Amino acid sequence: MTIDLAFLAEALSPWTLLAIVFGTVLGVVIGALPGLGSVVGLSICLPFTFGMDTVPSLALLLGVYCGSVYGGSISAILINSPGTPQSAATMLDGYPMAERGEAGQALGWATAASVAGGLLSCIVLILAAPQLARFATRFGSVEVFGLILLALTCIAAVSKGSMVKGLAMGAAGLFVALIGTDPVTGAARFTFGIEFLTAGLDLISVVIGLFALSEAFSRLALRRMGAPTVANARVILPALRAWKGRVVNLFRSSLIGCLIGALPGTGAATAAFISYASAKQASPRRDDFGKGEPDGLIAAESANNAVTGSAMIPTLALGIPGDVVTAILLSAMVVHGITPGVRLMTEHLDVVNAIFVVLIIVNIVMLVVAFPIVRAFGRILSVPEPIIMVGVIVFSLIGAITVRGNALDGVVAVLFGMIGYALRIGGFPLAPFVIGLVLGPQFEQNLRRGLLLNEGDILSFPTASWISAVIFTTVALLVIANPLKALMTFGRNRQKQS
Amino acid sequence: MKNASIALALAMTVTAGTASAQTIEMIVPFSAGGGTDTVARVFEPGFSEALGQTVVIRNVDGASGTIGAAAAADATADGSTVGYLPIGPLAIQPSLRDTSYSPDDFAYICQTTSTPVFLLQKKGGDASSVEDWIEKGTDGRVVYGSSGPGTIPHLAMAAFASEAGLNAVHLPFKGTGPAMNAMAGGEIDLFVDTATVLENNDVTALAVFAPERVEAYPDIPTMAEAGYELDFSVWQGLVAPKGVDEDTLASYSEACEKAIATDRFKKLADDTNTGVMYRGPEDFAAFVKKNSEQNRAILKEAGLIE
Repeated sequence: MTIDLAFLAEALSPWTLLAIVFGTVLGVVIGALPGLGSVVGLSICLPFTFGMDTVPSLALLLGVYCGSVYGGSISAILINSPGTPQSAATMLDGYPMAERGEAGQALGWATAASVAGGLLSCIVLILAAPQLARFATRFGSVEVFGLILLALTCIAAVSKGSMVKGLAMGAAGLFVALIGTDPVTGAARFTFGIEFLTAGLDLISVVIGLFALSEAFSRLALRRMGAPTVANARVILPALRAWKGRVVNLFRSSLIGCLIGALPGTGAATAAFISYASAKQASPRRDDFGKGEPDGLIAAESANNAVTGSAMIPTLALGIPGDVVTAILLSAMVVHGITPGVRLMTEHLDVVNAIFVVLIIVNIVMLVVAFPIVRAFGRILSVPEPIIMVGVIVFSLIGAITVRGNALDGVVAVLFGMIGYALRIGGFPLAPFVIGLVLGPQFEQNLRRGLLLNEGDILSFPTASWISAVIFTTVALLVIANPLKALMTFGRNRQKQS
Repeated sequence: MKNASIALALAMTVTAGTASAQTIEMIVPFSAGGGTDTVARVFEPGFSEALGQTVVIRNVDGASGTIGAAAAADATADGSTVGYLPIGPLAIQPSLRDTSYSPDDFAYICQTTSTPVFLLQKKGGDASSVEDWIEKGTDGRVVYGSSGPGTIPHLAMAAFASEAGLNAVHLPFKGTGPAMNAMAGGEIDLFVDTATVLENNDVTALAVFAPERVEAYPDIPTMAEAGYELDFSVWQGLVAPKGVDEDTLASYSEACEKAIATDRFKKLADDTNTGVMYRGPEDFAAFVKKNSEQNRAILKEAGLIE
């Protein structure tokens, strides 16, 4: 077998490398700014790619994509508001670490885990794209519904303090996800006759309202100034020996990211939550989760960055874009005369190979540019806090409004900012709400498709296939595990007493 | 770097917010990078050149394109705002739901594209014709997917199912991608979409929903040949809010005809299997009216509206 290495020349050309560096830096910055996420970043860059060559333009977009998924973790850790919904799970342990004065270490874990997850998914993509793509097609509505249930158990894992409050917030998030258009009948529901609401609430507006704006409000209102952020923030990479006992977690989380990424229509936020939930079950340090445990950071960040590589799997192997991000990448290919599809890997192997190489370089570049960008953020954060908070508010609103080009999304963000502020005062955890909101639409659509297929018989779900049998058994075990454990400790304590 | 991105973001919101007299704002009711947006972005340079005016695209996404369509209908009728709208928000959604606008609230400038849709099944299945599926659907059941309720893939299949008396289950997906994944996994039997989808996936076409066979696919029979007079296509066109004066309308329509005749537009149409189709203001208005009525009848038949 001879391998044509011409693609290397194109993937390593100065223009491509320039596009990678520019795209990655832009992506990290956009990801780190609350409200501006992957989609906004790609939309900004897309028109510029029309005048570029194919590989450099894909390199630019891939850089923005991967960079933005990582970048979200910077603001999640430093200012307790995820830069993108994908980093909502990163905040759970990242911010507590920053509060302890370990922001540098938290950023180091997040950076290392992101790069490792991204690179591992590149390897999976290169070695097993066709096989994994075929395996992913075996996940029908029932199986994906099971996976979403699995992710929802994460709500219990992140309900600090009161389980009741956590579950209530999760349910509230699921409910808010219902606002908009019924996915089966197309009827408007919970819209109160307001046309704007028929589109549903935009996830990004709600998330930045709930986290970024409410954080800003509470700091400004409560004068919680000089809270233990972040002067001189910099990335302190974890020492090699600190990885001891965490490597399994890294691999498991990356593989979860790879699998979820390969399923069309799920995405990085879902992957991060599933990974976080399973790390919380498996880690020997599970009791420290939510209090600033690096394992939680590793789980979230390696999984969401592993999605970036594996989201390409159905896109490249089957020509099926899994989400808006890959759809934008595909449209950039179409503009350059490359028809994506089942024959992409055979007809345009050079482009596919170049994408592989570009993805690897992007992850390495990410590791390098993380240092100066975090430095720059640290410097920005050392200006007086009211100014930072006003900046956060302004950026959040710009972000909210640009996503769908609708000013009312800014109003939504402000409303959820106030709701988030009230919830913080009441001691309600915000993370379960976001989990419910992120997973809600997929939860509903897959459940309802499953019911349509099985004539309304939900009890037939676990026996639909061996995959669903495995998933639903796991869910059942997770659900009974904790009460069982509590019961056993209770029993043991009583034995001791008697 | 940071300043640049701030400037970019600001520039985006500023250009989105203001449309001066010499700048025309073209509303695209879906996000950047989508199918409609891709065509609109290739249409825009030719249109702008023919008019000698700057045209700025504004993406207003949400609710199957109705939020953007409503924005186009509500804009000041002075020619400073136009909408590049596809079939969904123009001729389906107003029947499906209470939208704030109706097809009568627009002044029609021109139709730009019309692309026929095909009946698709997974490659290598044991059925090989429309008749096979009619048999399956009358003995047992067929499951068909769509890219959402009230989309053309849904309406075309619903119309076929009711005419042929099939026992059919409709599974809506969020877009064509996830539906194609479901077809590859065997969850859905049938799907209706354009030649682009046919070319890019492991599927075969059983028939085309058009009165005559399509030039590029001479071997694929029409639905009429199987006994069902069904004609469905996805199309796009340019509209303005109602009340724009006749002269402006005529000059826009002329510029539109030039824009779709540019090499750039033709090349994109070739690359994406999009059919270029020009209809002037009156023809286009009449076509939308007729199309809306047809779609409303199907929605009623499918039990989605009363």
